[in-house]
Formats: sequence, structure tokens, C-alpha cells
Amino acid sequence: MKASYVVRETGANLRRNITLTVASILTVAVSLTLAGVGWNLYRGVERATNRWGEGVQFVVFMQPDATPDQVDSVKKALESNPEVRSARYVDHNEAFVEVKRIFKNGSVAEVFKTPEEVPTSFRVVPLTKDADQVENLADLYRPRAGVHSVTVPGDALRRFQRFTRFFVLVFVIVAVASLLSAGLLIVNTIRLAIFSRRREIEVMKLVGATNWFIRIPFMLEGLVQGLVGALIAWGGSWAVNHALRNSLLKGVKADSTDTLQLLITQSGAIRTTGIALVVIGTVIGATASGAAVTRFLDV
Amino acid sequence: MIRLENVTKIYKGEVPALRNASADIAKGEFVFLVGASGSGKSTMLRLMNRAEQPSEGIVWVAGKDINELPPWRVPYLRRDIGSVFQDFKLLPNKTVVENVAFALEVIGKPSHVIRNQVPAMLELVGLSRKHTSFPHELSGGEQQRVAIARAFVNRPLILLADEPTGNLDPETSEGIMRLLDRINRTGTTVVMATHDRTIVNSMRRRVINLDRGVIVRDQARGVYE
Repeated sequence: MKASYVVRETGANLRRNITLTVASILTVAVSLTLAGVGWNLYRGVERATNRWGEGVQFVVFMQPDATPDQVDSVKKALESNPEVRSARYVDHNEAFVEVKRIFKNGSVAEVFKTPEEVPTSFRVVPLTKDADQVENLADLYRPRAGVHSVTVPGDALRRFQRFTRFFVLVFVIVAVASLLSAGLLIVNTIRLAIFSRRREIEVMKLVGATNWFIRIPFMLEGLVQGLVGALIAWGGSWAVNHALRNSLLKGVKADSTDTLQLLITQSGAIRTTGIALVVIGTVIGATASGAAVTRFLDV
Repeated sequence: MIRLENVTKIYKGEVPALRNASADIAKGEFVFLVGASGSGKSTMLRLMNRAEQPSEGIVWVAGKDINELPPWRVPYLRRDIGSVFQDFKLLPNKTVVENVAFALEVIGKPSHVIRNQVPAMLELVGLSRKHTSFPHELSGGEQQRVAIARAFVNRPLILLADEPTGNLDPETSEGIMRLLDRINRTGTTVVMATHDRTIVNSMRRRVINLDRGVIVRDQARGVYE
């Protein structure tokens, strides 16, 4: 089979049903963009929560007016505890900067006028990862002099994870449903293409064109629709990621280990997602047109 | 070349279109299939290029039981069998030369072969001067000539013609018959289903007469009756 024939016929098919072709491509594009953005967000949340989970497990906040002796005593107690892997002291200045960043423009930021007003804290990494054991460990420090409170992020973290997983699930369901409709739309487009060329197909069969010779331009038509839709989705998920980066990370240094930074997928991972989208789009296009050809092309 | 052995064809839930038909058509023969509408002429032609499969019996073409062919071999069988129809089946968006070339193109013939054979075939059917016309710009007779050129361009062993003059006036029909006769003289077996009494009577070739699916007469140098 000549490549020029296949290219010409596939091109002619795509042009002949231009409105349906565009509809199929857009449906594939929208559904795969949803899938891509959902996947990137899911990965980001997993990364951010993992970093949080593997890093600081609980925070011991000191009273703003805690004396250096009190701070020192807590520090010693933490460092001497065999259950604690590490404990990092965040002083007034660092805490002040952090508060300003996290709550920028917020009322909380206005409460603190000077670094001295912001409580200092210890970011504690325990050896264990078990939530209950971390809770027990944290309880040891609650009654100590100069300690304002001990925050165990476990519960909040788990709620956050559940929350995002729910959203990812919704994303997945919507993406799968729209992918299914994209597939059905492609089936219908190919069906129409077959119908509009039924005379030609009849003649081809009469003069002895092989079944694959007749099938391939139609199958390629669906494959091209899936592929083009997927390429648009690649661009779409990149654009969404880019917009998120711009709005979330404004003013945050690129090398920051900030949690927000982790939420945003880096370009390397975007490429991996994009390639996955292209594979999915192509497979859907080829499968749908294959089904249409098998069902409606009597060869 | 073609042999039907006790062939019966029953379409779903209907009376038999062909009943226990047997015939032997030699290489280079010219055979008319005659009979009223619905007598089984078209069914017989459709069985010969495996457009249909018999309910019973065997159809041999060029020494092969064609119903034993796996589906992927059927296209190769059809390359040895040209087909012509009452309604021409030309592609309206292609010119004369493109319609004929299409038959070679879709079986993967190289372009130099197409460039050689298509003009030669248009010369044979007398349409060289109209090669860039579209089907709707041609008369019925001219359109049928294009259809014959397309059916014969690959030099098949057999030409099946289902009422090729059914839509044409007597004069034009005569021209088409001269063309089919010429093709037959090249050694091609021609099987033609027709209603046309005048043609059958003037040609005096073998006649197979069908009546409600049964072969009632098979006569060399026969007439229509």
C-alpha cells in the first residue's frame, strides 16, 4: 500500500466530515486535559503531603515570651529523646518571615508587628511514622514550661489528603466519562465517513482491494483525531500548570522547599504526563475507529 | 473456467432464488443468462464472484472451490473477475481517467503501470477524447464504456455483466455489445445477464434460461424465446 494513497485518503476523510472531526478532536482534548490536570494535581498533593509527612511530624510552639532557659530546656529534652530523629529551632526572625509569607495580606499577619511577637517553635521529626505514637510523643512536651502548644499535623494532613483524593476521584470520573463520549463520537464520525464513501467502498471491493487497504484510511482517521486531541490536551494541561505556578508561586524563590512549590508539577513530569496523554488519546482513537470499521464496514 | 454444481441459494426466510443449478462455462465462452425479473440471474452472477455464498452446492472458478477461500483471499479472486452493472457504479467525483485508474490504484499497481494501461483501455472503449470528463457529463452509453474499461483494465479472466444495457437505447446497446464481444475475443470469459431479446437473438451465443431459480434451458448458439 502506498503511503501517498493512505495520507491522501485519510486527509480527504478528515476534511469531508470537518464539523464532526473538530467535535471529536475537541472532546478528546477536553477530556484528556481534565485527566492531565487531575493527574498533575494528584501527584503534586502526594508530593507535598509526603514531604510534610516525612519531614516535620509535629511542631512545638513556644510562648512568645518564653525565656531562653525554657527554650533551652525544651531543646535539650527533644535532643535527648531517643524517639526524636531531629529537632530544628525556628527563631523569631525566621518565624516572622514565614508568617508574613503564608498569611500575606491576611489579618493574622497584621497581628504580628515585630518578629518578637511571633512564637518560636521546634520542628520535630520523630523516628516513628505511626500517627498514635507521634501523638504520644507530642504529649510529652505539652506540659513543659514555656510551651504554648504542640501541633500534630497528622489529622489535618489526613483530612487534606482525603479532600484532595475526593477531588481527584471526581476528576477521574469526569475524565473517564468524557473520554468514553469522545470514543463514541469517533465511532460515529467514522461511521459517517464510511457511509459517505459507501459507493467507493463498494467499487473497491468489486475490483479486489484488500480488506486492510479499505480499512486503514478509516482507522487512521480515528487515530489522527485521538492524537491531535491528545496533543491539544498536552498543551492544555501545561497551560493550567503554568497558570497555577504563576498565581501560587508569585514571589516564592524557585529553590524554595516550600510546600506550595511541591504542588506544582515540574516541566519534566509535565512531559511524562503529556506523553501518557498522547498514548491514551491514540489508543482511544484507534480503538474507536477499529470498532467502527469492524461494526460498519462490511469487509 | 466456471462450474456450478447443484447450487441452491436461499435468502433468509424466502423462497429459493436458485434451485439445484448446475452449469459448466468454458474459458473464452460468451454466455447469456436470460429469464424474467427474479428468476435468479443476478444471484447466479453474485455467486460467481462470491458476493454471495450458496446455501448448498459448490461454485468452482478457475479450478478453485471459491466458498472454501478464506475471507482474505476473496479480494484476490475478484482481481480475476471484472464486474459491470446496469447502474454503472461510477464514482461521480472522479473523472473518466480517475475512475479507471482507481481500479488499479486500489489493488496497489505501480503508477507507471497505471499510466500505461489506463489510456490503452480508454482507447479500446473509444473514450480517449473524454478522459477528463466527469460521469455526469457523459451519456449513458459512454458511462457504461467507462465502467467496462474499469472492469477490464486489470485484464481479468472473467467478465460478469448484470444487465449492462438495461438503461440504454437499442443503438447504444449494440455498441456496448460490440465492445463486450471484442473483449470476449481476447479470450476473456463473458457471462451476461439480460432481458434484451434483440441482443440475444442477434448474437447467437450460448443461452442459459432461468425460471424461478431453475435452469430450464441451456442451449449453444441459442435465442431468447
